[in-house]
Amino acid sequence: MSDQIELSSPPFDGISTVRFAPTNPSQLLVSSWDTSVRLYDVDTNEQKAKFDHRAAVLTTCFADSSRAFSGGLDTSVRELDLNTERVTHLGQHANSISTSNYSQSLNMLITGSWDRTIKLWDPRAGTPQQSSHDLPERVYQMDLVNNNLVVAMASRLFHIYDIRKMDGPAQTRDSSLRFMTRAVACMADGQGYATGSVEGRIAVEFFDLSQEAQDKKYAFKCHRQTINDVDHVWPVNSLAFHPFTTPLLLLDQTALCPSGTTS
Amino acid sequence: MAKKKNKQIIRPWCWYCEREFEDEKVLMQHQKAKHFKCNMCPRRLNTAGGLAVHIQQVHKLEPENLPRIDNALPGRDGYEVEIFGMEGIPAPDVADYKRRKEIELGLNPGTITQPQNKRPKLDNRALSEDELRAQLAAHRALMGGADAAAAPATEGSTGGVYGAPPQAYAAPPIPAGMPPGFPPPGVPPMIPGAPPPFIPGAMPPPGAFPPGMPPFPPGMPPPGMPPPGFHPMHPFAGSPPPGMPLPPFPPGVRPPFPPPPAFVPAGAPGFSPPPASASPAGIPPPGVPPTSLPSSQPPPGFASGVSPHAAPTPVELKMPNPALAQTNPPFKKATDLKWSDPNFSADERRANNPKYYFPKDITNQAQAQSGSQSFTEESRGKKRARAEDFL
Repeated sequence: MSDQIELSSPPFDGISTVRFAPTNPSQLLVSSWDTSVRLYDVDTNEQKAKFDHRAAVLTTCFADSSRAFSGGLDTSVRELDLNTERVTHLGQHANSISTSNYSQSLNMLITGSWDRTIKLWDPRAGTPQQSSHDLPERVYQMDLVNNNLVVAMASRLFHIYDIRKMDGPAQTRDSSLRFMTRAVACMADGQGYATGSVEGRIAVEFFDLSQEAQDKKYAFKCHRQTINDVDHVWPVNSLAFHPFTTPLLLLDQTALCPSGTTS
Repeated sequence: MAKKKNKQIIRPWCWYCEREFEDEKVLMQHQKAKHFKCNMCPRRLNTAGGLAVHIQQVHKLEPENLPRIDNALPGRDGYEVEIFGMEGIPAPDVADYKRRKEIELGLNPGTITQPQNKRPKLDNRALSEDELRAQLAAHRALMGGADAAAAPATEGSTGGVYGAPPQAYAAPPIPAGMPPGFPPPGVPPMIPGAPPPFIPGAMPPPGAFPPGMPPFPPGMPPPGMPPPGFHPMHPFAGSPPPGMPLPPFPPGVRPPFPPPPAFVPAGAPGFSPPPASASPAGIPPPGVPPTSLPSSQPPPGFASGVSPHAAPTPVELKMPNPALAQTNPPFKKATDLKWSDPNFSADERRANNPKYYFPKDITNQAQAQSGSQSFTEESRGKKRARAEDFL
């Protein structure tokens, strides 16, 4: 646990997303502003594959240990074959793709974009794009647990979808934080989600709308420092729940850091 | 000059559907017949603007109800760009097309995109060895010690800017009495990684800039040419010395891409840079209130050739729905909020930085909202399907 591994051949620019493979904890997928997606084997500290893109890559996610997806500023949704390094274009958004998730239950890719849509993709279908759903604002982040998809947008808006019935959001919420949403992560037990804002604060929310469940929600401050009586407040750039226990991992400046940090 | 050269390799092509034609006459006929034809009457117009006016005035349609341009590729079916034959094609699209063409034809990258490659070499040959040495010394001094080793390797590659007037390369030596601060006409402002074009006399003598470059007080525009080493977007070759502000461009230096007619003017006033551009590491230095960052204006023509996409000009970020605009609530005590823009995320600002900016057609967005398109973009090497194939 205390060991820290520094990967060789890191990306040359800021890192936008890191993802571990759902089935194989040594596979790490890293997307970067240097326009690449790289696959590392953490155990052997080896770069296994590299995919170059036309523009910075903002998001990547695994389907399984041999397939992944990517999206970024060039607006194109790509399927990456991690064994052969072959790239398949699935389709496009009208603006940068900011976030993506893969649903293991539906075998579908979900992408969110600054074009104010989320789109569902079936990579095996003849026309991969299954549906497109309009949202009121630019999609910043998404996370998925069971069938609940939490979509965090600009202007502090939240939509919660049941991905089996995508005809409309199951819930629409405003952020309980008063500043721009920067990160969202669903609890591994599927009860709710945590969201972080640019003003170093995290709110923990629950899907269940009953009064007793809603009473459990809370928020707390983090990533701040007082220097000469001035509060310096950093954004919560990334959030992750530990898959088996409850603690929450927070990252502050990593997404803005040009050096390759993985934590 | 450059245009003629291109014609040997690249035939006239239609911006709307990327079809090639024998000559521009046929192209214009094609555009009239395929793209500028009115749906409601047999009339054919010469340009998209003409068609828009015709539909509005003859058929009394509101401007927002205009039909999209027929047979056009997704994202190119809007009326914003005024195309007439080969005139008026946005520079990024030209560059992108040429690049795809190069790959398709199996040419070396740059054969089409940098047709004037040989020019500076010819000019250099005319110079005596001593002159060259003096220029190299001046250049090294200008770039600072760190870059001196890397600089000579890239020499002679100054021809890479599309759209630069040919006289930039054919310029005869300018007399040494030229006042500093006056850039020679048509010199592309920045070619990162490459030295500025060598024009005798335009460079200050070697002694003027000691290595390390500390001489400018903050905020003062540098005399003469903006040294490429200053470019903050190039973290590996020549990051600016700490504390060095972005040098504003001397007036009169044009952006590398002269805006085509009816195109968004490059470096439009009001474009505000992503705050990440203000500090090389992308992190606001402690103590500097971030509120000051978004308001700092970049010099006009801030866009440079750094991006692999031939310096498209970022457009100003706009709220898609201004009604939802947020304002940060006030703080009870003195607070330095590291990201204080309530409406655009750090990623959005960064994506709009010329280093990362990737052009997206605004018209695309209207398309995506209608939700009917599923356009698959193919990899660059492949030939894109013609517009008709989508019908």
